[in-house]
Amino acid sequence: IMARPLLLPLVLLAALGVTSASKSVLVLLQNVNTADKYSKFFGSLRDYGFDVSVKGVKDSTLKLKEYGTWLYDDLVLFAPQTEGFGGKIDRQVILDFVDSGHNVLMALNSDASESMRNLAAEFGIDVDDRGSKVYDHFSHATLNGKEDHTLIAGGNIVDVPVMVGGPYKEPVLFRGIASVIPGDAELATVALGAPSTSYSHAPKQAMLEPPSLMVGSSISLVTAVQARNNARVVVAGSLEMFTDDFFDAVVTVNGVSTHTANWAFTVTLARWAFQDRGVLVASNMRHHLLGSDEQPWGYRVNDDVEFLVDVVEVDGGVPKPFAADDIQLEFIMLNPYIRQPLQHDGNGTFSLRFKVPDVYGVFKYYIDYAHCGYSYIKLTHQVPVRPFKHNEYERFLVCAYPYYASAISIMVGFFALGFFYLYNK
Amino acid sequence: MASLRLAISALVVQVAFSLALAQDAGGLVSELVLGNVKVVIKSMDGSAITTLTAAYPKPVLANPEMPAGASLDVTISITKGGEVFKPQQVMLMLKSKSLGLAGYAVGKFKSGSYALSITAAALEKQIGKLPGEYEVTLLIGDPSANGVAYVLGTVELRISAASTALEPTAVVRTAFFQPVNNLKPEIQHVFRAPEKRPPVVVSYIFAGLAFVPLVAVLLYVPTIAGVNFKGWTAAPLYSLLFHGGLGSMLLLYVVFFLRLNLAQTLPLAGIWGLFVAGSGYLLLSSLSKQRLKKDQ
Repeated sequence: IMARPLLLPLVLLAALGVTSASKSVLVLLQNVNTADKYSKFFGSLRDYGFDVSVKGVKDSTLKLKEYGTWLYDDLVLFAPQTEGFGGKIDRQVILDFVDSGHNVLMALNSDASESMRNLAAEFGIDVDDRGSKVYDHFSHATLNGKEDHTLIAGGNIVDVPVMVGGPYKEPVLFRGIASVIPGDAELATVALGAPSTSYSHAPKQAMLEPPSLMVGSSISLVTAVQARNNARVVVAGSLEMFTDDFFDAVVTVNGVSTHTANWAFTVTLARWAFQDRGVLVASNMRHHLLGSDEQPWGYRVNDDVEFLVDVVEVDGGVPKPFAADDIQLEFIMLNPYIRQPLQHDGNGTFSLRFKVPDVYGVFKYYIDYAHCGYSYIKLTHQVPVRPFKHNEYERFLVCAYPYYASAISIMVGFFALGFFYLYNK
Repeated sequence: MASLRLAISALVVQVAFSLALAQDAGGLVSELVLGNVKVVIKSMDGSAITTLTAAYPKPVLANPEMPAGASLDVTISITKGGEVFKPQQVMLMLKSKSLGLAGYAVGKFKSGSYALSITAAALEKQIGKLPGEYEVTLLIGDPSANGVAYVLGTVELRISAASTALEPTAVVRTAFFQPVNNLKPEIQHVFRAPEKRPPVVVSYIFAGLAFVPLVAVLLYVPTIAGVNFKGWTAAPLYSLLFHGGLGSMLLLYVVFFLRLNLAQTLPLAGIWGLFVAGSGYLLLSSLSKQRLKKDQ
């Protein structure tokens, strides 16, 4: 009753806290006066609740970190030609920024500097040499009447809607530099790949030979990396694909005139990069014996148990229940004894019923979920499994009936013999 | 009349103008012309297995087999506007029909024509070990002209069994060929099968057999010595107590087997045993008194 007058202000305060917790983004441009070239891109980010601050890359007051706290949540590098950074930002600060869970969106172009290429290499992306361009003589676009063979308009978009958005009918325009990710990369994804007829070439130099020549669909035009701490880095080979000109462009591709899908593609990808989409939160991991509600200290072999976990997908700060059929649960003691997919009930609760193996020891529940576009889920929980107690085995087996019969017959015989012994003639 | 003449002259001027424009437009982006296209499949030792002459745009390869170690060689001469031309892109693309992955070879210019050559080993370095049917396309392109894609047909590629190349998933990543999740094969635990037990009938038969001696004792032993129930009347109370006590002792054993544990049973058995022993002593002493009386 005392708390009632406090309840409403508390609720309002909580609501305010949720809405005003916007993510702050630092954008570094080669020249801060060119910010209106990207006005639609930054405008869309602001519409989605991001607090965008635009600065020049050589600004001497730049700092990402002050007294041990990070001043920004996300970093956008739209300065491909810069060799170094101004103020207190340098390559190591940016790597620490990503190590601490924050995100980076980088855009390069054909004049990408050595330091930018090295920064991309730190994230596992191999960018082609300075001066090289991506050419395609078959899937290029004509913009404003000028046919440009380096203006790629036929790229393949990865089929992961949470990362790049729904199926696009219009092409995504690209003009810039090629990258390649190694075949055994675990964390990197090709978000926009080049068409199979394209290749990367520096106009005044000799053509390389494959496999050192970046050619065909193995060219990654836009690469998305999700680090093991769920920090996201997106490296786009074209800075122009974020400009208003490309958003509004009407281009002719193979004789057909179309608009471009750059606006939707880049904004969705940027929201993914800033962890506004596709973030999974797993919580409330619990397990119990079937028929009981409390969480036991351990199990016995051959017990029937149920494991449950709640997974929520956060989209734009709004949590909604996650639905997927490929979250696998492992029950491991040195090697997995059980590996089964969890079933979801539509409300974000994933569960599995199984029988504990007939081997005793210390097991652990292990979930290692890595679906393209979603953050990683790694959960472990140890649970000991004991063998049968001496009185938990089967009793009164039918094959022991002869023994029971013989014992009973001895007892009855002894009783009867007592009579015969005492009462005889 | 004057207006008609004006109209006709305007029409003529218009036609001439459009013709001139068309010619002019044709001259701005001139087409590349492919000539002398020769396709040879060479075996490992250099001898030609198949030699074909091709003419753009008709395909010539009807899925011939490329054995392990063979190479596919294409020679072509490219002209633009009647003169020998060196375009920026002269490539041979082998695109797998199964996965859509493609391997490429770059052409080398020698004495007026381009020579392109690709082998299974070169393909393996680019996209990994992927045998099967491949679509062969010549890609000729230059920033100053429209690109020409000449589909030469398909070949069937064989990978040698001794190849140590990796699977495509470990070699190349493209937008349509990359892992989406990290699913591992499912594992169900196979429980140990319970031990085999004899058929139930066998146990019942032997249980029955175990009762046979009891039946024999009950039927046969009394006939040996004869039963004399007069002894019963000698000390009826003691005999009742003794036999009842002995019987309930046996019942205690049964209850111990079914329900109790040793800690509960031993005290009971101890106390009851004393009682049974005592009553037995009394019964025995009265029986022997009776016998002594009979003997006298």
